[in-house]
Amino acid sequence: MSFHGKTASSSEPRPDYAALIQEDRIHGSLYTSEAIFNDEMQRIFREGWVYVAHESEIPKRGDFVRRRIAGDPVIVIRAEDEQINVFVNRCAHRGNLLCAEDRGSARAIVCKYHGWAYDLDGKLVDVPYPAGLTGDRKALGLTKLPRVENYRGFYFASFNDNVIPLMDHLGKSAALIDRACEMSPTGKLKLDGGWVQHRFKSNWKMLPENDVDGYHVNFVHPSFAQAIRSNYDAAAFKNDEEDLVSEARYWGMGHTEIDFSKAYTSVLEWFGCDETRYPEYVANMVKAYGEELGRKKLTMGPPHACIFPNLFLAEGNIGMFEPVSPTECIHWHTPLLLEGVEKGVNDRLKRQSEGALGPAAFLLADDAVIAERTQEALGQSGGWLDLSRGIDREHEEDGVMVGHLTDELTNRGFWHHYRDVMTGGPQPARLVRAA
Amino acid sequence: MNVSVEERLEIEEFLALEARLADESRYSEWEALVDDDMIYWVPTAEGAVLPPGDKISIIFDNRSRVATRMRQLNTGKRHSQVPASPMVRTQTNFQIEATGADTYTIFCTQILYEYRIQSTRETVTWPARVEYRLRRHPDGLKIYFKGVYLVSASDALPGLPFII
Repeated sequence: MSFHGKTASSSEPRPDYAALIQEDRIHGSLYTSEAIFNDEMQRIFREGWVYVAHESEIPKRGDFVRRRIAGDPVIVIRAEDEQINVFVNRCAHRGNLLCAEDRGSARAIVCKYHGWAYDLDGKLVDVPYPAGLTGDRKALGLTKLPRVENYRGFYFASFNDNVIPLMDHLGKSAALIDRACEMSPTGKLKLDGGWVQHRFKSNWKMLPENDVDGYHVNFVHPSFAQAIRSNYDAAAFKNDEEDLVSEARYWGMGHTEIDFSKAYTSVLEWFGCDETRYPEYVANMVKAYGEELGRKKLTMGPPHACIFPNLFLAEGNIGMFEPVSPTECIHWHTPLLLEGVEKGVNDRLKRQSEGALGPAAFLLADDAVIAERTQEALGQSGGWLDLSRGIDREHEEDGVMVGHLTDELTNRGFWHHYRDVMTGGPQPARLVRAA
Repeated sequence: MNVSVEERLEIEEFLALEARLADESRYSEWEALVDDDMIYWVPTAEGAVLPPGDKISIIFDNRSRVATRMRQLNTGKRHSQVPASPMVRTQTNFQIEATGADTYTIFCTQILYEYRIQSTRETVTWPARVEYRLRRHPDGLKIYFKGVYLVSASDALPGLPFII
């Protein structure tokens, strides 16, 4: 078996993923190899589905946001009421960056270099001094990503025309998106609270791994536990293994979750308060979903889950993972603002967002340093990383694999799906030792 | 309203102390300089042009959260500041205005060098414009607002768990 260091060139043979990713351990080169990173960008981020934007970020025709997919800048733009396009942010003429702003609104997309103008469907509609352009204008439109699909306003895109339908990719995990949306009495989110981006000097995969690792909480975040009373005291910080009733879950297709809801016994406990704080919110949820279900949703709270490969349903936040290089990535987040709730609820969501995620947050600042130290320790040779915890006690419930909060069930699920994608396997293998 | 030379010297000396306590991660001594209604704000570029709190910020602490932040750092278990980043900052271009009988607003520029000794061992430069609002108490000046407007506020930022 050969491992690729940072200097690996594309002429080398493809990495042997089946050897690098075993049932209960993975090789460190998966976090350091340039060849593997480039392979991931192609197989996962270009050929598969990636999350790009939420409909509420671009509510009106012409509204756009900039994102990056596998290193390519893209524009996500609303062309019509129900039509969102994703273009490579690059002029078809001489390759200039078309759109330099992070977000905005446009009636047409006009290149600053030579003034070529495109409509919101990417068609070339105007060229200055047109007599000189004798080529086929139809061939000079913007590069549109061939597949853009959404589930409840969460838009995903792919460079691969033959990618499986989005709903096949999401599979059962669509229920996690439902759970996030249905924190609102209207079932709709309004993600206009702004984004914060946090730069990690670590491989991108450490983000979806750590974000659903329930084992590290007591060790990476003791300063949080000591300084702040929170809902996590009951859900994640118990000292005895048997007192932790929160669960790790693997939903298939690389989608992973840690679910704190079993630790919550009252309405809005997950929000660090009780129902007397936001009676209007509680009443509207009961009105929308019925007494029992409305109160149940308010007790369980929003999901804490990673949708493969780059969407993080982060309780009161929506997050994105952006790979930059084998040793660098960006953790994005915006608060999970809800439609149809009083301002106080969304204000509290914003403040909790600042507390939990981002460069200065009480939690994520510490996770970042731990990830960076792992990256440092892997060096060039890496060695093996153990993922065996809980392999003998995971079990299946309604097609979802379930384990103890502290078990590495989630990370095994992520890696086994990753292995299937990277080796071109048609369907994810079942997790080992299913009950 | 202009300030006297004596007031200017007093305020610059006060801010030099604040900068030094922050540089040296003397959390409790730093916290002793802030007032009971303190707001500590590090906005994103998008949020900086709007009222504080409209958009999420990198830091948007009220007094209680400033206390929490210091309490967490004081546990000695906040990995992102164990050990604390060695830092040095310079502040200059002070524009000091008296905004009332006992209040002042100060704008200055700040260049902070931070050595990320806990992880990547890189030196990060944090250029910013800083806005202070100070209130005079019988026992001296207190900060009731500190806004740090980062030059790179629109970008992805590395960890910022120290006092900027």
